[in-house]
Amino acid sequence: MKTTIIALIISLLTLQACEKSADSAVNTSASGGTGANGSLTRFITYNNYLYIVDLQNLKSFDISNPGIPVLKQTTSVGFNIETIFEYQGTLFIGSNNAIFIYGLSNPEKPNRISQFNYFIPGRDPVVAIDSVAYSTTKNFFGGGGNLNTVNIKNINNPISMGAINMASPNGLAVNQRALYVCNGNNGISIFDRSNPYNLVLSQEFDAINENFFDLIVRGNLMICYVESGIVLLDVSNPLQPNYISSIKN
Amino acid sequence: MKYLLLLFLVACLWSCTKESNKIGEVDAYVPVYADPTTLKIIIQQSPQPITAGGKIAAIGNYLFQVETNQGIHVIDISNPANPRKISFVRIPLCNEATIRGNFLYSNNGSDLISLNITNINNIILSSRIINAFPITQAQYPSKTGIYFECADINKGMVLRWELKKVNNPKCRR
Repeated sequence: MKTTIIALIISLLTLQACEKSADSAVNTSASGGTGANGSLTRFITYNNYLYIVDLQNLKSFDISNPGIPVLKQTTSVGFNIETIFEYQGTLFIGSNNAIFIYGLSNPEKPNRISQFNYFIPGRDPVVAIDSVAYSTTKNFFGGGGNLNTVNIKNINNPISMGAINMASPNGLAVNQRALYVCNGNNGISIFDRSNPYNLVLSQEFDAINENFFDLIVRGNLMICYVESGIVLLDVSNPLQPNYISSIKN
Repeated sequence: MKYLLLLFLVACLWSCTKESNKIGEVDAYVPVYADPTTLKIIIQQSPQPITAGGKIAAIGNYLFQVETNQGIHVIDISNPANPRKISFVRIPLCNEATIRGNFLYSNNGSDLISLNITNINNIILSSRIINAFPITQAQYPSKTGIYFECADINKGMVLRWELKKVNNPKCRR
């Protein structure tokens, strides 16, 4: 019983942390807080900063006056950069050949902490939670790709915990219980994260015939970006998503 | 060394490979260039069809989906069972969207823009930083294993690609 209560409190706290925006923004205006992004984004905000990545650089903008961003720093990161993700003040930048990890002790001037090189270059988004990062890499040759698990307990030394071959991996999202990976025309692969370093495929959501690119998980709602528009799923049971609705055309 | 070679091969594959083989008339993608005179006009319009859905960002009851290179769909998801497109913000060469508070940050080609979304029915341009996002708009179609007419940078930025019959297209990927 005690453990259940603790688990409940933890999950509530987690939800609250992810949902900073929701409470203050449920009214007619879209005011307050930070919005949620899909993993394929090149733009994110964190506190009073906007971070964007172009092909080579990470740029930080002061948005204390949110209507008027002010460029503060351009940091050369690598090449063929595609995505940026923030988790608890750490930036994870996805490129064709590596994940670059940056700290924000000085939010104006992100500092390189470490990098995780892919053995096989691919195109990737990356997400992170607690002490683990997950990324997908799409092979340049012959289709297919990998879902990579990276141990970041020691953020200075990310360690590969293995890769799972997938048919068409793309955007991904994570919560305490599950990892959701878009798998193109095959739907969404749902992995059980009971052991975060050893993902177990729980099921493939392929109830609807769509090409899945990316997703956002906000509490019980999963918002998917598919080729034809938007699909909404209910993830109140994290390992068993249920179709709610879609917007096509 | 092997690794370097692999990288090199990847780089070659990744960029468009120009070939001048005479292949006759085939299906090929032809670039449609953005009209430079209306390239920077940002305006909220009635809902538009989603034809090339792009990246997503959400806050509160609202979901924003990029329409690749065209703008952003504004979608009310307060009732997930019945999501509704409520408007479309025209932003030529737009690919990105992220939100903080009452502002949405996006790109109008290589310009970084902020939009004031305080009144969701009256979304307006708040600021613009020219060339802050010098991302090369793809000068090739997203599909692979296809022929295309090479993009001519002097004609402007490529808005989209149309499939047509082309005699001896010079580019392929």
